[in-house]
Parts: sequence; C-alpha cells; structure tokens
Amino acid sequence: MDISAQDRRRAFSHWMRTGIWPGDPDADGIEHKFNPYHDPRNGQFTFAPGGPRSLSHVIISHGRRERRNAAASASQTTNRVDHSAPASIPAVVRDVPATQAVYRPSENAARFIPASSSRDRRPTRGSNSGAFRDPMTLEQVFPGLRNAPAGGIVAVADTFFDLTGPARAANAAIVQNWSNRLVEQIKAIEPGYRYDSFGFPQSFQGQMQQLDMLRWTRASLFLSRKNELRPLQVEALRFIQSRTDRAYTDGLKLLQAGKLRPRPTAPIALGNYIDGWVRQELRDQYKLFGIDAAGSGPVRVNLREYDSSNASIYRQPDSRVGRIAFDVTLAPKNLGTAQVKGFFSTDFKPTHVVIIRPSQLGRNHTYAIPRPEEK
Amino acid sequence: MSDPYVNPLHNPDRYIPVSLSEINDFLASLLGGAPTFVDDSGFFPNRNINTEFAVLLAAFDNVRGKLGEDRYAKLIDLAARTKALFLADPNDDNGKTLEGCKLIWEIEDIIQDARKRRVKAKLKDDEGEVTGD
Repeated sequence: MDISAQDRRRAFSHWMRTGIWPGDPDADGIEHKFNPYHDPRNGQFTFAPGGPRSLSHVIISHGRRERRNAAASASQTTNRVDHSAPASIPAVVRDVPATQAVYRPSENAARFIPASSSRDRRPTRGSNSGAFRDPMTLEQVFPGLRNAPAGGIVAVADTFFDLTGPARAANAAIVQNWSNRLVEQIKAIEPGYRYDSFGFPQSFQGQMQQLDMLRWTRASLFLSRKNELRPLQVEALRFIQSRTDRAYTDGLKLLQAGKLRPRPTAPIALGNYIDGWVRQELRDQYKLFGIDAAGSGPVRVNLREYDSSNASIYRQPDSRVGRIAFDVTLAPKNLGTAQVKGFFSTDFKPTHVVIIRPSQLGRNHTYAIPRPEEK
Repeated sequence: MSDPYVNPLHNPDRYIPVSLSEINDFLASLLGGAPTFVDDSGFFPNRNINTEFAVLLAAFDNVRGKLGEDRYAKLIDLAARTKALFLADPNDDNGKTLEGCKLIWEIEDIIQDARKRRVKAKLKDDEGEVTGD
C-alpha cells in the first residue's frame, strides 16, 4: 500500500483508536487477521486457555490447538457437549445463555465450554495408578528418586505412610478387593498359596493388618522365588517407619514414667531405645517370613559392612536390603554426616541411604539420599 | 480331604539373639512390651510374657560362654524376678512393672560390663573383630 507519511500517521492513529485500518483496499468486509480466540457475539478477543477461569461463564476457545486435536477431543468432551443433545448437558452448562455458544468452523454444532472446565480430560493412568497406592519399588515411594541429583535429599511421598487416611475413606469392600488383588499376585508367584483366615476382618485395624501380612508375603516371595529385592525394600521401609513411630511414642512414655533410664542423657537414651526396639522387631519380622537377616545375604540387620579400601573401617546400618541402607535416627543426617558418607564407602556400594526418623518430628521426616558421584 | 496348606515361608519360631549387642536390643523390646507383651501389629498374635522371657533365657544360653558362669547365673535370677514382677502387675497399676523395668536396667548393666571386659581383654567376636561381642 503506497500512502504518504501523513496519511500513514493518520491511519495508524485511527487504527489505534478503533482497531480498523481506514481505506484498506483489500478489506471489502473480509477480516484477514486470524483470531483464534474470539467471542462470536462481538468479535472481541476472548481468553485463551489458561486465562482467568475463576470468573463465571468466561468463554474460552482452544483455537488452533483444538482443531489440531479435533479427532482426539471427540472422546474427551465430558464437560463439552453438543447443544443438540440437551439431555446430556450438565446443569452447570444448561444455565449458560445460548448467546455464549462458541462456533468453530470445524464443527457442525456450537458447544458450551464452562469456564471451570479443565483443559483436557486426558485418560487416567489406568492400572498403573495403583502403583502409588500399593508401591513395589522405592522409586514409587520417593517421587523423583530416579533423577534426583547425587547426594541430594528426596523426601518420601506424603501419602506413603498415610495408611489410615485413604483406607478409612474407602470402605471395607475396597480393602477386600485390594486384599484379593494381593492374593492373586501372590498366587501368580506361588500357585499353591492360600490365605487362611477366619474371614475378612471387621475392624479397621484388622483390615490393615491383613494388608500388611499380604504385602510382606508378596515381598518375601519375590525375594525367594525371583530373587527380586525391590518389594522387600518398600515393605522394610514401611515396617521400620511404623516401628520407629511406635518406639518414639512408647519411649517418651517410658521416660516420663521413669521406666527408661535417662543415661547418659534422655535424648540419647530415647534414641538408643528406638534403635534397639526397631532392630529387634525387624529381626523377628524377617524371621517370621523366612528371610535370613543374620548371614552374608543381601538382607541384614545391624551387621558390619566393610570398606575394603580400608580394612580397619566398617559401618553398621540399622538394616540393609540389597543396595539400600536404612538408618533410624532422631537427628537429621545428610551426605555431610560421616556416618552416611561411610555407608556409601562400604563394599556393598549402596545406591541410596534411607534416613528414617519418627514421623512425629514433622514433614520430611524420612528421606532418601542418592549415592554421590564417584570422584 | 486335602492336606492343610503350609505357607513355605512362614516361620513361627522367634528370633533368638546370638550376641551381647543383640541381647541389648532385645532388652529395649522388653521395656517397651512390659508388662503383658501383647503385640498389636498383627504379625505376632502368639506373643506374650512367656514367649518373651523364653527368648531372653535362650539368648543368655547363646552367649553363656562369653558371659561366664557368675554373670550367667545372675542374669537367670534377674530374669525370673523381672518376669514375676510383670506377672504381678498385668494392668501396670501397682508399681511392680516399674520395679521390673529397673531390674532390666540391672540386666543391661551386666551385659555392658561383659562387653567392656571383652574389649579390654581384646577378645574377638565371631567375625574376628574386637567389639565386645
């Protein structure tokens, strides 16, 4: 377009005020500008997805992305329904005035998009979502563990030890289904397995105990039949945490009642009490499930782990399952702690050291420290 | 009628401490479980005062040689008196449980004394280290 500088300035000023470029010879009432986010009532821009959706009845359109995903969206329109199908329109959408319909050339019918609707309804994780409710590897217990920086700290998932929360919210039928699934998994490894009981437990505590028993059976079978340690690492962590919490509570009561000798100091006496009780419980637990924790195998309780680069040095993690070292402690520890550093130097070359502290001590009580990089 | 299924993994036998330091750990569980030793985890429904003191006596037997006869005899006596006190106070409301706990302290002192003497005498444990075990 060849116009003078003065005309250009005038036109620019007009365009700034009105949004219309005057005297455009090609306009002829046809809009050339592509506007993927617009309101069909007045042509004004609307909010793109991700805009201020908290406002009621804000119209959004998905523009190009929606057309690109048109085929896929056909099965994902739970909250986006055809106006021609009123019976299936949710109440929240039926209340929206018809003038707020959004038209898209790629579709035959206008559709409502409630402002509160989510962008896309992606398929759920399916069966894999159960991994987070019933984890079988530490990667599922410690989110981000796989890609965590060496020597850093990875906190345990908030929900891992929350046995009571989800289970209480669930009903007995769900817990029973969960138990049945565990039994099926056990039978897949040990076809002759039969879970003997006097019926499904009525009490919540009994139901949780049944789940614990089945999970430990599954973990011990994975170890004995498949030489797979990862489920046992998860159950050991769960068990040690529950016993640590219990010992912490009991230890405080014992101190208060004068039954635990505060020697050399009350905190040290408490720490020693927790360590001893947890280790003894763990030995009993391993024994109950036929796991040798006193020999030279990959499962050990408070036994010496040597550093062959220095024959006189050894460390004793509270427990070890494969290449995972578990340490029960009241005080936080990290890679700067000599003990933790020493664990990593031992011949079994732990991939992670898991620090377990009483959950009563607050958030991030339990965490994993990935192995530092070799120098 | 088929034979009853036996879980090949299930082992009803208790773990018996095999070293002085493991007995020390076990004493912590004695303090925590007194006076009834009922387990609420569901894993050990048969646990009671008799089973716990049976484990303690068996553990003393395991380390009898390291303890020496005098200490061994004292420990057997202390264990019997402790058990009697716990039995006499099942609800933990007459003070005898507290007395029993203090006897466990005495047991702990004897075990620690034995460990110190072994370190002083440079006696090696089962793995060839001087640790008191």
